[in-house]
Amino acid sequence: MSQANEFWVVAEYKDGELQEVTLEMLGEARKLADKAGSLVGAVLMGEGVAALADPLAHYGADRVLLLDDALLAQYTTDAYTTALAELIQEQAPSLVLIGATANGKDLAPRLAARLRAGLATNCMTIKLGEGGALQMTRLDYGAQFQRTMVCSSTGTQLATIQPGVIGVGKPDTTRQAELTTVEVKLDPNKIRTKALGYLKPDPEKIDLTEADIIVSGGRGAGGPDRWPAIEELAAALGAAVGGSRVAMDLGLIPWKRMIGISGKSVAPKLYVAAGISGASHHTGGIRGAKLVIAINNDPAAPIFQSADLKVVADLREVLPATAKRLRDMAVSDEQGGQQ
Amino acid sequence: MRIVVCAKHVLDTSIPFEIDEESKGLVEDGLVYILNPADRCAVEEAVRLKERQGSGEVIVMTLGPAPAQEVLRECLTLGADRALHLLDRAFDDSDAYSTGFALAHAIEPLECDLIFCGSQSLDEGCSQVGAVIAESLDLPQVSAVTQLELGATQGSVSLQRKLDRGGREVIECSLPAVLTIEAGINEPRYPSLPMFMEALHKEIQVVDLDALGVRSQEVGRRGALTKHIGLGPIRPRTKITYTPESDIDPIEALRLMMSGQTAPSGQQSGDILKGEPDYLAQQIIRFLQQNGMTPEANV
Repeated sequence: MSQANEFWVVAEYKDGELQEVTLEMLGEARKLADKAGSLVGAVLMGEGVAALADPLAHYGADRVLLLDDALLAQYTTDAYTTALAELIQEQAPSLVLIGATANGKDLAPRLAARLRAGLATNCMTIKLGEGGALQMTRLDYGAQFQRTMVCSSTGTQLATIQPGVIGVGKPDTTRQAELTTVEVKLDPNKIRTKALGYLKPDPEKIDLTEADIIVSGGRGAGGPDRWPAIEELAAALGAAVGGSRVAMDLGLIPWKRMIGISGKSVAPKLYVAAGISGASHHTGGIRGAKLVIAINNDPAAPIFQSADLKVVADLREVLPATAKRLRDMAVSDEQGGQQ
Repeated sequence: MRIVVCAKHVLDTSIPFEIDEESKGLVEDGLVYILNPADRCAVEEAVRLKERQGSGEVIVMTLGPAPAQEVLRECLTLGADRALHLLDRAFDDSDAYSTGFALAHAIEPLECDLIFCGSQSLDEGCSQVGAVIAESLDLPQVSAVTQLELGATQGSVSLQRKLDRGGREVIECSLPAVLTIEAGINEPRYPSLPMFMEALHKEIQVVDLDALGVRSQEVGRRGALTKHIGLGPIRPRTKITYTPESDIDPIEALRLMMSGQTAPSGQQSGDILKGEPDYLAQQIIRFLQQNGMTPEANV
């Protein structure tokens, strides 16, 4: 079995689950490998993460290279670069894909510089060109044009992949991968940065484009008897508050919290639209949202067309009721934890 | 404390420009270049650090064609002490790697404590040069720094680094180090007239290939590890939208496709909920729980 042409994906995970971009890259690597007649390898680094080998296989990996070490438990540039560089030098895959996440963007250029390998960052597509050369496409000049590039270096090529561009393919739960445990030899004295802690995003300060949950209000949420209900639910959900243009015009939110075509385009996991009719100027800014709950007293409101859960109600009643239930759940959980 | 800041003169992407079909490059006519916003913040951060300490030196550096000198002059008005311009025909068509390699060679003899780069450039935004410098000089690196303080112990800095989805990592790093500075870490000052006048008299040292002491095959196009082969209008790829309901009836699937919606959770075609507030709240909670979105699930 020749290893020289393998396509590798550096797996990234959070709270014991693979990041979406890792799954996307596996699908892309799978396609390339099938065309080139080679294998997909997934590099899994961390401490006690062997359980993630199965999902890596389901999404397309033929083999999983496991680097299990206490010094890899948390991402540091020095440890990850050293461990990966040694592995790549030894096995010489033709392509290594890394997600363009905060850590991936830190790791990839350092790794490329160490290997003296060409790197294309924030790629959208990777195509197998003539003679097996990989052509990578990325957005350039403020995302106005797309640039195609190739690596002029021989040997391994590197690319970081923009999350959310490829899409996650269908997993095949019957797939299995060969698991190889790679010995890690790291010197703790050569790790020159120390992670001291993680600061959770503060929903009140966070930029809306980075928020996981957004509760948003519009014309129907205007007025002193209504807007507090938006804020109450946001607080209970740990959500950021946003709004439509009308909400901004009414002075309920600052400009930077306005969502829509002329404001911010957001991509939260959950978007709650309360008292927003759903003009296309607004819905154009929430296309990236995974789940949308719409609450409006008009059953014909266009917002319902883009909602996953549609609730016709007076937001003054339903929002505080939901917030109360959420708070009660949090309290009972806390008590449960103390017993 | 000596701080080197690497700055880039970048295309102002807010001003329209065109592609030349023949050369697959930009039509040079009417392009406007500015100091990269993240680099401006990096200069500001360096100057503030020097001011807090009461002593030190801020050196700005750029690699680019002759007009890039304007960027250095601008950095000098912001409070940098002196500037180096890496200027030689041999540096033409550098990629991120050969740029970082040349800059690292210019930085090495300066014996500085900190090296700042902007975290991303406005035009190409490869975010690579900082890491290449760090690797060439065998220094630690921290990317996307959003807060910087001198560490409690001598010879270290305490930083916050931008993570995904608004999170921050608190990180300590030994000196010397390379930091890439996130735009928005500070609000750069507006230079006053005296600062402008002072900057006119500051020195901009030109460093060519010989002065840098590297061979021409190591820099510019010949030292590059990547090559541009095309530039064109954006053609978005078709995104895979696998949903658990992709096994639905083909007619239903067609209907969804034609309406432009591939229902992410199958609820979109569902009924509209009506009723008592308490019942509705219960339904909303159930929906949140089904999708793992209740606050507990996030902890």
